[in-house]
Formats: sequence, structure tokens, C-alpha cells
Amino acid sequence: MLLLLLSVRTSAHVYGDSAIYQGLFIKLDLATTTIEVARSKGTLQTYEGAISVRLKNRYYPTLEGGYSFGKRDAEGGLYKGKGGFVRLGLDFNGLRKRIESPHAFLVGLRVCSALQRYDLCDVKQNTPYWDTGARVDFLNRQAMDWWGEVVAGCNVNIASGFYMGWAVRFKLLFTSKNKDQRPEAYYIPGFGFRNNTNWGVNYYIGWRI
Amino acid sequence: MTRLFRHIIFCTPLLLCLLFASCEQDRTCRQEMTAHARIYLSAVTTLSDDSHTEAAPDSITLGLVGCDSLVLDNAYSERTACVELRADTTHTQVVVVYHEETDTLTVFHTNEQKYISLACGCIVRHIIDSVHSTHYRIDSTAILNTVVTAEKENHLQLWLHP
Repeated sequence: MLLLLLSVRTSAHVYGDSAIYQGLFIKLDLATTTIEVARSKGTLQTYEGAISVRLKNRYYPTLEGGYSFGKRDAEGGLYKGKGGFVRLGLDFNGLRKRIESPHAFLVGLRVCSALQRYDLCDVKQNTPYWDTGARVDFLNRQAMDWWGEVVAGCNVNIASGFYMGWAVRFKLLFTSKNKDQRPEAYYIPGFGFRNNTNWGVNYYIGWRI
Repeated sequence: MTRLFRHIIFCTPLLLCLLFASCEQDRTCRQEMTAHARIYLSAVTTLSDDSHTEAAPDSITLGLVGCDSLVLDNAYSERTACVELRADTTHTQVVVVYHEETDTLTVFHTNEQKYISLACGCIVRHIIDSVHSTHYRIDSTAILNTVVTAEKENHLQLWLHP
């Protein structure tokens, strides 16, 4: 894949000369995977990447996607799930001077969605007097969640055609937080643990083609 | 400019990763999760002119049938007793001992399981359908609120005569 991308790099200069189109970027995220694996001790894993296009040196229409799987336990039960997510949005290059520079400070918005299958196992019933020890399972459940993000970061040209960058995300969940007491997913792929808001960070390596 | 960008790209992410690595949903339950039926107790005395006075019962004991624990062992005039209704059947029996006489209060209810969160698990919500009792010391009963959740509300009232 890397060789393929490097081999097509020469053609990128043709696009770079265009007044409208300055190249297609493919990025792989390293931070989300590392952070998730570290804090869940390997029980939760997320892999994600992004594709964006640089237009007029200023605009970056972006499509991001990924896949999560794993399990996480809490005092009241165990979550097991797997699912994918997509984020669609637009970044703006915040550089005022030398906007034609290959580097960019990016600020943008995303609309995001995740679809997953999950099980909630061994969920505790709270009946301490009777102490029946009864536990319940909610199996083969499916959920779709929506959220929005504000993103800020940078994209830096390290070597010809090779980029690195990071992004900080503020995430706001649109889908309700258990209003009707359905057994909801404890974790949302691409969003994180089910809170009303979350923060996220990405560290990308990427190539311009 | 390039030097600045390269500094940003290599130094900042480590700080950010450390900052965001700690964000996780609470895995420990921190809310009241047991649904109790609260029984409001009233001792009724009939006066010579057929009027009534109502007060806290001076000494009363409540226990659950099928469970060793006492619900209320009271010599200090408490007005409410909290009873955890059974989640595994649709009726719960409460033994009421008042002035050395024993009554049995039977509460018929339906049970609904409500999921709260993975940290807290499920709460069993009860709907009280009816209440029956023996009448050695229990004069009468009333249902004040049919839905039993973790909210602190009175659900049943017992009138006792001395």
C-alpha cells in the first residue's frame, strides 16, 4: 500500500499546480488505537482512517471511517460489541499567510454516525433484600447513534508526499441518553463511552496522492 | 514556518494523548437503585364522641415473609416503613406485629425490569394492583401510589387500632 502510494506521488505535483485541486490525502490514525488499547488493557480496539481533498488551498472536504470491537465490564454488567462509524465534514485551512504552503492549520465540523451490534451480559438486578442473585442478558441488540464534532488540528508535510498531523475533537451526542430506559450500548464506535459529550484526539500519518 | 510546524507535530500529541487517555464513563453505580414500597403507618383511636385521632403507632414490628430481615423494629414511633417487594413473584407478604397481635399484609403487584446503565444494572419497578390483610390490629389499608420506583414516595397507608 505504501509503495503504491509513493509510486503515484509524482503525479501529485500535476494536481498541486491546479488552482482548485491540490491533492487527495489518505490518513491513518495511530492515537485512537493506542489510547483505547492502553486504557482498556486491550479489551477494546478501534481502527480509523480518513480521506480528504485539498481545494483552493483552503477547504478540505473530509470522510473519516473506522471500526471498533471489544468488551468492557462495569459494576452492573458486561458490554460486548462491534461496529463501524463514519464522519463526514469540512475543514478550513486557518493559515492566513502563505496559504499555498503544504502545511495547514485545520478547523472543521463533522456529522457522524455509528452502527453496531452489541450484547449486555450478566446485568445486575437490584434486589438486595431478597438476594436472589438473578442476572439478565440483553443479547443481539443493534443501535445507530448520531453525533456532531468540532475538530481542530494540523497537517504537516514531513517529506515529499508524506504528512503527519493531529486533531483534537469535541463530540456532542445527538441520540438521547436512555430516556425510555432501553438497554443502550455502553460504548459507541468512533464516539467513545456513552456520555453526552466526549473529547478525542487523533494522530495521523498520511500520504498525498 | 516549517520548523514551527515540525515542532508542533512531534511535541503536542504526546501531551494530548496523556490529557485524553483518562476520559471514561463511570463504571461504579452512584445512585439509589432499590425500589421500596413505603408504608405510611397510622394508629387510630376512636374517641367517646365517635370522632377519631390519628398518631404514629407507639410500637410496631414489620417483617417480610420468606426473608429473615426485619423491615421495621420500632419503639420510637416511626411513621414509614420501607418494604422491598419481590421481583421473582407477583405478591409480597408482610407480617405486622402491633400490640402483641400479628396481621399479615399481602401486596399483589406486577414487576417491570428497567435498565438504568451498565454501572448500575436494572431496577425492578413494581405496579401495586391490590392489597389484602387480616384485621386483628389492621383496621384498613389504602393504596396511595401504585408505581413503586426508587423515588421516596408513600405507596400504602395502614390504619391500626390499639
